[in-house]
Amino acid sequence: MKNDAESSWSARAKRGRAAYKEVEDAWNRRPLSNRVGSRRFRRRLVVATYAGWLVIVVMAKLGSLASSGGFWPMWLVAMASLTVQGTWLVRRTYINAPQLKDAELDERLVQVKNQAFRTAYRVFAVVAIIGLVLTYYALTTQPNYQGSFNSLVVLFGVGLLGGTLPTIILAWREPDPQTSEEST
Amino acid sequence: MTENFENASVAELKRRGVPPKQILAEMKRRGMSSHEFLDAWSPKAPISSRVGSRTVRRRVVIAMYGTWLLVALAVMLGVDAQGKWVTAGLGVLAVGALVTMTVSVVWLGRRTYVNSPQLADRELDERLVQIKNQAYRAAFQIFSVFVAIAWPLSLLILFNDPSGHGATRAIVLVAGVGLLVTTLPTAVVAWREPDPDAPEPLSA
Repeated sequence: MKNDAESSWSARAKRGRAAYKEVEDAWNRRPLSNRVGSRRFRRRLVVATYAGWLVIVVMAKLGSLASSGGFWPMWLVAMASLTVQGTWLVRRTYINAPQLKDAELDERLVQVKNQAFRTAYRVFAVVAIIGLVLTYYALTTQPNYQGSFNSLVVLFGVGLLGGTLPTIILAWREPDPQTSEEST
Repeated sequence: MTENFENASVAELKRRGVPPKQILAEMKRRGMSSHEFLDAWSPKAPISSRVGSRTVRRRVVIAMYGTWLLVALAVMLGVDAQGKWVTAGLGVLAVGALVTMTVSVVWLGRRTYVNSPQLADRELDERLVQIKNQAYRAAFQIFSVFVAIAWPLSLLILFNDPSGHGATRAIVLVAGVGLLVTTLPTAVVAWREPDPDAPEPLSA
């Protein structure tokens, strides 16, 4: 009898918590933006993002050669990586579906998201292995500040790719949004 | 005779001893794609639905990665050891590596539902393609976490000892990453897929 009462109480509490979570989620959830821009614009943005990051890395490398032992070039690369990640991953758009929960997406977007992860895995696996070998090479051939800097730059690059790749792939692949005339 | 030639399949033409170039030209004329022609030229075995119980599959996954971890541990400890212990360790290592490689090759070579990540999409139905994509998604997330932890750790090891034992340990880690990359999607499907349906009892 006592067990029945306890189990019904725990079931009610569990239901209550679930309902509260639903309300909280619905309250906090902002709508997904469907302003994703044209495909050409998105592709240019992708190229510009990675090219910009590479330019900053080159600047940091030159800086590290000039001021051997300084930490600011490393910070510059770290900040550039964080900025790129923040810019691409914070927004709530269809393009950023890989960073959103499945519950917030429709069936098509979940499938698109999975496909993006699949491509990302293949690219990232190859890049990670090459990067790993490169960092080891850099550290063993130059066991000094420059070697550490080079290996950390590769590490940051692979980290950046690991974070942004699914979103980038989606941005690259998704077709142009339909205009209102086309959709009707 | 000409009619027979025009309607004959690739296998039939092969059996009749028609030169491959002529078969290829005929199939191109019929509008067959290169993939379709390759499939028809060397037909693959059907995908087996004998995938075993989930418990067995999970044990295989644990055994495979567990063996690799043992091998890695043996190398890590072996590089510091001296004398007969080194020889014994290397023997264990060789056996372990052989077992791991065999398990991996068998896993990746089989044509089963569990191995769908290694098969082409055109060989799978829609459900299996979705399972494959989901497996890659989980694999990406696991692999990212692995890289984020293991890589800085390995750099630290190598930085402290760039020419000696650090290099050996780094090579072990690269081998581990290679193993993980190739087997992870299949391991995810094997871990997740439910038990195969039991055969329905015969109605009277």
